Amino acid sequence: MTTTNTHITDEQNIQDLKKEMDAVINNLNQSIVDIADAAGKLDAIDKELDEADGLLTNLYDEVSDFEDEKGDEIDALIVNALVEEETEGDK
Amino acid sequence: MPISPDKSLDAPSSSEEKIEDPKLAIENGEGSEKILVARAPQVVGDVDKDTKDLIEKNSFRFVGGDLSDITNFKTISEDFENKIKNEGKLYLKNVDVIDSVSVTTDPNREPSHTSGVAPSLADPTASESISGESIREDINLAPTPSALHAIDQAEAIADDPIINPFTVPTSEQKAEAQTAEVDAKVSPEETTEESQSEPKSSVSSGAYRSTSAGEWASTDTKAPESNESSTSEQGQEKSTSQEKKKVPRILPTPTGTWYERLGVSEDATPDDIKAAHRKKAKDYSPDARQHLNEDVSPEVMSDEAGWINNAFDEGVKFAAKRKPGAGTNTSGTGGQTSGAGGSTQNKAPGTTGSSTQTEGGQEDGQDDSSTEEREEDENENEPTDDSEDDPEGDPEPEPADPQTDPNNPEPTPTPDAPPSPNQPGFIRDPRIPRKTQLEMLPETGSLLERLKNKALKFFVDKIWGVPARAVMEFAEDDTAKVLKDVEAVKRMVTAPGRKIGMLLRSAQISRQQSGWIIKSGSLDDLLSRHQSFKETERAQKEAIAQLDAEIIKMGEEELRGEPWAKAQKNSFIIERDKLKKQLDKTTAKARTVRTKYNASHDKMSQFESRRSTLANEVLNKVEKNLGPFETQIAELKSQEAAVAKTIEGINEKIEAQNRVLNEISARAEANPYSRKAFRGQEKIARQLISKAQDALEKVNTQDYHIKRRIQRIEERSKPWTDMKEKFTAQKNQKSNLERLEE
Repeated sequence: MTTTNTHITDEQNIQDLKKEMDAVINNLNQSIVDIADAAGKLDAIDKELDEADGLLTNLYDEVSDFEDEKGDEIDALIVNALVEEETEGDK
Repeated sequence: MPISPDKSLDAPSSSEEKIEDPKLAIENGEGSEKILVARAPQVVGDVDKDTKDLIEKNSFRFVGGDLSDITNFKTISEDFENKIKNEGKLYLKNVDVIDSVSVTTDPNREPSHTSGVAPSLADPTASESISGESIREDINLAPTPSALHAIDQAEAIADDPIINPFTVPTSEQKAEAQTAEVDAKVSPEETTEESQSEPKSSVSSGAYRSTSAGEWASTDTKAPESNESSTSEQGQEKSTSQEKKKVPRILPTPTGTWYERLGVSEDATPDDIKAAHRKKAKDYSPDARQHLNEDVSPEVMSDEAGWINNAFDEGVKFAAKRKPGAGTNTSGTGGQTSGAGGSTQNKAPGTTGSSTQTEGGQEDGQDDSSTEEREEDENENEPTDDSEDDPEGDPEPEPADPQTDPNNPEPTPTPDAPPSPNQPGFIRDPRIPRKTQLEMLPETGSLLERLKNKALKFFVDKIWGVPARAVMEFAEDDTAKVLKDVEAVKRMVTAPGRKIGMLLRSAQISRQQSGWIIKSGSLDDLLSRHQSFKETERAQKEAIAQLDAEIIKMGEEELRGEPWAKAQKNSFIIERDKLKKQLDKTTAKARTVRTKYNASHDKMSQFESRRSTLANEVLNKVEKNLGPFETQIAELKSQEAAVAKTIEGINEKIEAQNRVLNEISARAEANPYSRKAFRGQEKIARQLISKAQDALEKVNTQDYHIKRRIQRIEERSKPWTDMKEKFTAQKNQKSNLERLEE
């Protein structure tokens, strides 16, 4: 009887262990899926960073064009304004 | 024993009439031979036209045991050689002897340098019988089989770097040189006997030419083979001892005007001057002179190099002053300028000499303040240095020009003009067209390229290298990312926005200065003066009104019959008129000041408005791109943080599962049945943990890179962000005019 009971207890333990182990395996599988999901999100972020990079490049281009167009004018304005102010001040 | 041409040359009487008086008697030691390297010969005698042309258009070398019996010769052209053999005796005159060496056949005899030739080249005034470096000889040539050996020797001279500075000895040539030295030990009897069947002789002169010829003996297949091994050591020893013997002077002193020193015409183009200077610098380089074995002190070398460099500088200046394409007028001007330059030039050697003396410490004798061009020349000389320092080295031969190849059966005659008599010591190989020689030089147009490379190297090392290395550290071993970031930082460094920012900062300074100008007496002064005039005007008007009232009052008193009233009234009237005149003046002044103020105000307002508009335009452009960028970056940072948090959670979860697994494993260990039952599951779980950890590590790496990338992009945008903040604040600030008007 004792042997039978021990055997039943062992069987029960084994079943419990198996269930716990299944849970662990399921959790780990889920973790792997989550990791893949996180990797996908990071890929998406990486692509969006390309866009952000592009925005800065656009800024570079726009200001570059602006400089080509107006840079001399700004420079001349600064110089002329100073000269004019000084001249007017002398009058 | 001096040999007179009459004695030495068995020329027919008809030819003798044509032969000019020889200007040089070449000493010829008994038992020795001479190798003469000649060019530009003239053929005298009964020779057909083709042969005559062939000879006169080719440089050649000939050898004779005695000049009266010169029977050996070597030409570059086999055709010419055959012609000579077929024609028999030939008579040459006006042979322009470049150099000569003694070829002794007596091993016990110390060979003598042909002092009548080489030194005369160096010093045109050494003998009255020598006219410059051009030595005219009239030589009776008749080819014999014994000429073959001499041909070898002469061919070796053809490879002499002084005669042909572009020739580099090959290892085979060096080996042949040893062979030639071995032959120096052969007795005259042996030589005579063997020369009948297998011509042999040896070059053992103490002069540079013989050494050079010995070292760079030709690879001619007719060279002797039997004596190669037995006497090689003796030959080498003798050759070494002979190398120490110095020649007093070979290269002529570069004196005269700049164009004479460079050996160009007065109206030479800058390219010609450059090429001539390059050539001269090479010829007069210490290495070349060492080759020549010249007994010249380093100071003299330094002086002469300095004169050549000065000539180059003057030539370049002269060419730059000359108006391009100005026709005859230009030439006239050039002549005048040249005259002035010539007078200056006469003083140049002394002047330059002293200046160069101060820099005599330089080993290469080059002027320290020399241009890049001279540096280039120095660099060109460096390989020569190397080859000198390392005689065992195997210098790479330059690509052989078909016309310089001695094996070339048909060398094309030089299409260029013969060397100018204005070029003392001109030793260009006449076989090679000038253009070809120039092409063989290092590319002259590379100076700009080298300067660019220098500047680029400096920029990369000193300026660009530092941030680039920093970025590379950030990006670690991710090469693609590094390159991308390098480009990004490069754009940032050279961004035109930096100039915009600089301009706007200048505008800010200008604004501050304009404020200072306003306060210190410009617009502010005008405005205060205007206000002052207005107050004066108001006061004067009030005074006038009071006087008017008084005048009316006095008029009434006058009507009442008061006697004093009229006088008083007239007094007030005079005073009022006076005040009215003052008022008019004050009004006019106030108007003038106001006009000035308005004009200045308008201009300043216009300036500030335009400046503000431009600044706003820049800011709008910055904001237009920076706004979405900042939003996007903020969002991405948030997303990244969320993913990072998720990853952290997953990591904790895996670690928890790992702990559970270990616990289950420990419990299962207690029971052999259960241990057996879940062993398979445990294996699966362990594999999953391992897989999850690997995946997690990859994701962590990915996240790390994304974090870094966000950081770098933010750094890249920082200048723009700073600019935006700074000028937004300035935009919101009141202008000086606004403050003035307040």
